[in-house]
Amino acid sequence: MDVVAVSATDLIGLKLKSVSQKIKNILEENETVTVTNCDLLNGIASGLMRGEVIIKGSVGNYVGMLNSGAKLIIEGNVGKYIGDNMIKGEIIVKGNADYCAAPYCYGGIVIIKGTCGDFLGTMNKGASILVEKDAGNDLGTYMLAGNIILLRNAGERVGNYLISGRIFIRGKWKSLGNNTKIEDLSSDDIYFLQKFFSTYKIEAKPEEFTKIIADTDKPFYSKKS
Amino acid sequence: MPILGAYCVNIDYERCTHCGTCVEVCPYKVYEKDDENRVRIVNDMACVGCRICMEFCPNNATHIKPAEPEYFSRSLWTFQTVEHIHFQAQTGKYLLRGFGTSRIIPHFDDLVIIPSQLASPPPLDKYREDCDVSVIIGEETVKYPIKLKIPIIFGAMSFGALSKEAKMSLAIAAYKMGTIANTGEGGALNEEYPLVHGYNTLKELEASGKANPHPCNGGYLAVQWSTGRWGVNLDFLHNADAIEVKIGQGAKPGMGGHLLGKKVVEEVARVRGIPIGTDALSPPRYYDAISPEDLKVQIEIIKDITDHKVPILIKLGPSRPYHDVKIAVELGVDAISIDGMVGGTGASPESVTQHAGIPTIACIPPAVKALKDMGFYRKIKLIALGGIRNGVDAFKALALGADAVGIGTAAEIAMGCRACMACHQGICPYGITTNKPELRARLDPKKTSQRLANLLKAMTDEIKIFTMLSGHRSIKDLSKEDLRALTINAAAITGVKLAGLDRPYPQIWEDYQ
Repeated sequence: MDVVAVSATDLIGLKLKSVSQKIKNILEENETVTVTNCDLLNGIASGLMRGEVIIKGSVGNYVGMLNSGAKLIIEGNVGKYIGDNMIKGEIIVKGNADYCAAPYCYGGIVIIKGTCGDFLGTMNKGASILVEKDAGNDLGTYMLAGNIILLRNAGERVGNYLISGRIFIRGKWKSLGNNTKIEDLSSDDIYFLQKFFSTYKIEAKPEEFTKIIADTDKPFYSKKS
Repeated sequence: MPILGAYCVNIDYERCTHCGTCVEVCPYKVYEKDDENRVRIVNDMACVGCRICMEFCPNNATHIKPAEPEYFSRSLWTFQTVEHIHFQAQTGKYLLRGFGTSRIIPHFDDLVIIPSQLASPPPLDKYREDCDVSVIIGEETVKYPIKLKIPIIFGAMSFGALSKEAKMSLAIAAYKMGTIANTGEGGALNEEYPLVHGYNTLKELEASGKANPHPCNGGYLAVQWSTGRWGVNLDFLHNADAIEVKIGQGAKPGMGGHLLGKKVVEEVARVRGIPIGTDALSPPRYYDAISPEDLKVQIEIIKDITDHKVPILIKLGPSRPYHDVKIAVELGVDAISIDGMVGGTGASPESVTQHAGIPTIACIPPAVKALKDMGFYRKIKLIALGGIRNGVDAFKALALGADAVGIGTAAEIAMGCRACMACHQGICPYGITTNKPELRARLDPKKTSQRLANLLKAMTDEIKIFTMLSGHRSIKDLSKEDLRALTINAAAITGVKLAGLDRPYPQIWEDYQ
């Protein structure tokens, strides 16, 4: 396994380009690359289509933006907007995630072992996102497809203006957002959760969760009065 | 219903043969056939003035005329205002419509072009001499700059808001004229990229081995990175000849995009990655960039992913152009598009279109000043959009300081639009702003693209005429000295000298000279 040690020179100018190039070069010949000392760097491991990137320690904002097939493992905390606009692949954060984790994702898996800030999974269009601890306000705002699974508590306005997709919460929430409703878990939901928990070794049972879905798929101007 | 009941519908029964063509072609259900198979007007209030019935009537029997405005007799309570209130009272909804503002605001018509005589270099001969109208975007910053053959590009109009055939027409016309077609924020059609480079299909393009990767063949495809992020993936960015980061637009600055559910048919839903029939409302701001600093990082990452091979554009709505442009420069873009409030859209709350933003001619001088103050004038290219109708408007925008102009509404009209402003309804009878197959079939991309190319050619010729009669050999030499303002308002907001007075009005605007 090759290691990219982000140098002091890289960090002085936050030279994303040089770090990205190093990662890409290593992934051309190796399956895995480890990156260290990048806690101030934004946008690392963006736009990758294959390979596995292990980031030692914490990292800045926009990690794995437009990820299109790579597996990213971050061993510390991440800044804002992790996995922004992900298409496919996996991102696993062993620490906490800041504001607006996994926005605009079309697909892929995001797992956050710690807590996450407000606006988790905003405008999710197909990714499956799991957070093991608490999430902030506005979880799943304007979500159009995909799944958000929260093992502990959420804040205000859960699923605000949800259009489609599913939100599963095991803990409590302060308030639900507009255009949401609670529905019993179907057999499909239970199968999906069981498979997901088994794949990612999550200790949880589907029946412990509440499912939140959209009340209508037309909450805006086209709403039938 | 842009203006309810604004048109009088008449059938001349001496000519009418009751063939039913009007019943068939009118998507607004104005006409019906009665039990005796005779054509009747059943809902003249629904007429939007598109005049498709007049186009198709074989006997010239249908007539659409504007209703009397009654402005003088009712003062503030015009016909339009009264009907607007009735609509809100009946439905509890605000009125939506297409197009830009219909208010009378300072516009390019308030400026005139100053020909060259004795006090300036003599005019040049349009028929026997050359005039440089080319524009290069990203000349010193990217590997594959955009080399526009003409200073006119197509503004961003999304698939979904526009039909597939309309988008294809724009792409073909961009190829023919060596200019930019823009995906808008709705993702890219598979057909757009090959067509803009002169190929019919992606397969044909790939087989040629020429156009992918760059440099470009023919026209250029700009893709839009927007707040809804519809249809954005790596291929979308890698195939682009330019990437435009959308902040706002002229018709509804600060509001994001509106694509009503009735226009989100299967293919639109697939390209955008959303459920069929749902309203696609882009947020007004980036959820994933809550400050200019974040946006700067985001742009840096886009450049990193694409190796900054192609220019990054940013599109601003009409707000505080001086300050907005200064921030845009700091974001590291290669060109700035600024869209005045006259700019059009497929759907917007009418009140926003009419009242939010500033005129296009008020956007350009402060933007130019910001670029000059930052030392980037003519390096970062300024593209003016919003109500550019012809080569005359385009020339005036260039003389105010823009490097190029963009057209959207004028392009739609060239495709056949009659400006009925009902684009949001999704039943455009000319097949432009609709996704209904039977209406789309009325628009032939081959013929329509030629009309678009003709418009661009004529506009470019007009720009050349005015450039040369002003004594210049290149559009890069144009300045506000080539214009005079006809009104105090236009002089005050542009810094152009008032005609006759021959100095800026008021003096404070001399800063912009």
